[in-house]
Amino acid sequence: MIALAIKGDRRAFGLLVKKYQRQVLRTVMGMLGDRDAAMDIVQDSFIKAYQALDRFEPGRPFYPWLSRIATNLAINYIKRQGRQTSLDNEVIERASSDPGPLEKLENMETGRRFQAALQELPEVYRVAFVLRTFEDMSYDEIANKLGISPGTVDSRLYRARRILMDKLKDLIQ
Amino acid sequence: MNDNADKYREKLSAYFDGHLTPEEMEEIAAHLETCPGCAEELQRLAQLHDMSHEADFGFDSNELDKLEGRINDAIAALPEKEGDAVTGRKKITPIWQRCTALAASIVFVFLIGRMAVKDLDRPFWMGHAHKVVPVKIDSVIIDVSDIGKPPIMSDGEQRDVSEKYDDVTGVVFGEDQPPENSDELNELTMPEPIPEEIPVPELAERKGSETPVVQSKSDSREAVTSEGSQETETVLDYKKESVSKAAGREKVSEVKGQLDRSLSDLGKAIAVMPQADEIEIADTLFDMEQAFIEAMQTRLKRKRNIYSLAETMDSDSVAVLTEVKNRSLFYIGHDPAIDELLARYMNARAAYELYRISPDVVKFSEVDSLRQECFDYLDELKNSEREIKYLADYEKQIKDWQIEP
Repeated sequence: MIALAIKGDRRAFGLLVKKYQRQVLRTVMGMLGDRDAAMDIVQDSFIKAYQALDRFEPGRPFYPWLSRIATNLAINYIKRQGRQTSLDNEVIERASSDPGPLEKLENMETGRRFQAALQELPEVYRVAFVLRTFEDMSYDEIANKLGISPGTVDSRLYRARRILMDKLKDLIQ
Repeated sequence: MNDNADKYREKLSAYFDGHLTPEEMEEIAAHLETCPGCAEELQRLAQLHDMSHEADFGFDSNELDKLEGRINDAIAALPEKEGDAVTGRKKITPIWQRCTALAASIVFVFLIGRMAVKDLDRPFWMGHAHKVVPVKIDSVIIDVSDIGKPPIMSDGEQRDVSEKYDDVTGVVFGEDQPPENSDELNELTMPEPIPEEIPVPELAERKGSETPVVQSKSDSREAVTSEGSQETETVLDYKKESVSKAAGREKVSEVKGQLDRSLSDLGKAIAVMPQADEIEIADTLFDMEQAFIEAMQTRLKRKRNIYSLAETMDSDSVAVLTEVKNRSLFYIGHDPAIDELLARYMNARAAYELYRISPDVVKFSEVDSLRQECFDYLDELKNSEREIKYLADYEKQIKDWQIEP
């Protein structure tokens, strides 16, 4: 199917869209926390992938390639939006202790509770966490993508997990 | 938690990810043996990880469909790429697209027709006139009378075509329905025998024409099965043969060509399948294609005997390919010409039924014209050089249909 898509078969590419859009949307949504923006980024990702198909190396798995495009676009979007949150302890403390809307969500099912907690994370933590957890990227890959050191990735993941576990402590025992 | 717990606790996240040196991993593992607090913390990290997989952000299928539509529209609007598979070819509206419109129209008018028939004692245009939407008959394909009614064949039998006609796609199915999930497909269960009344055409490209050519029943079946087994045999032969590396490379190229052709054929087959099957077939193809390419690259890279390729191309992949191909061919085992003929016939019949119920909506001249179009198409098919299975059966049914103002 990928071979057909590379040859320009749009229908074959349409099947790739069908197969992967949910997965890529989940990751981008996790990174951005904004539904409309996530859908726009996913759309752009597939368009860019289609335009770049002749540079795709046959034989390699398609999804990681697509994911790389999508996560890069999402990161660029975040940078453009200038929404990088400062990493001072105050922010971390606030994110960790502020129950926010979670108090109202006690009856939500686990998935939705998790989503709400994730979206309340400071963006830098959230992005690192999503790339690691949703995309199974290594620390080095995340570091390269975000232009930070693997040690910083380690630190961000640790903090992201601490905050999430704190917010979800009634679910995680 | 013991005295060192804080020190270790900060490393648990990296430990969970396996992002520590082997020494550190061992150290943490040893600590976990003695510190229940850290062991629980690790357990919580695992729970958090599991929980993350439940997050789908609430995108429902409508939103996903819309997104998919947006993406496909955007891609369709792009200029065609060089070497585009569709460049330079005559664009033919796929039968499934035509039949989707047909099916939608049929359902629409069928419901109206049913309402009308149900209320025949009290003419529906009196009681429900305000609900009747004037229909331009040339833009709507409709049927009332023959839905679910088997056509009468020349042998006098009534053959239940409706069971094999997918309302949504217009694809004719046999008793062998598509698998419910890809696992089922992966079990490599062979399809049920092809029903006697379903002709299996050769795929268009092999015959160099755009319209599938229907073979005789026995030939068709042979074409389907022999091709699959031939491919399996080709691969198995590699294991037996012992020839030069150059000849080996040629063989690999040949197999790759076969696979490409198979994928191309399957692409066409997929084009007429219901959406759910497309995904399953596509999933299988992804895996097969991947396995094939990886195997070839690995073997070539290692510069080992080219024929060991066959060992890596495991027989399961070939079997799946054969299975998918058989199913695909089976699913498209109908003649688009007959579909078209039936569509025209049903269109005219439906117009007539509507005319009889409500002559102010449809004029007799319109019905007559549609019927004539149906005859013209029938003659066109009869005069063509193609062998069209069951044409005589349908011809009898269509010619027997008389109308009167």
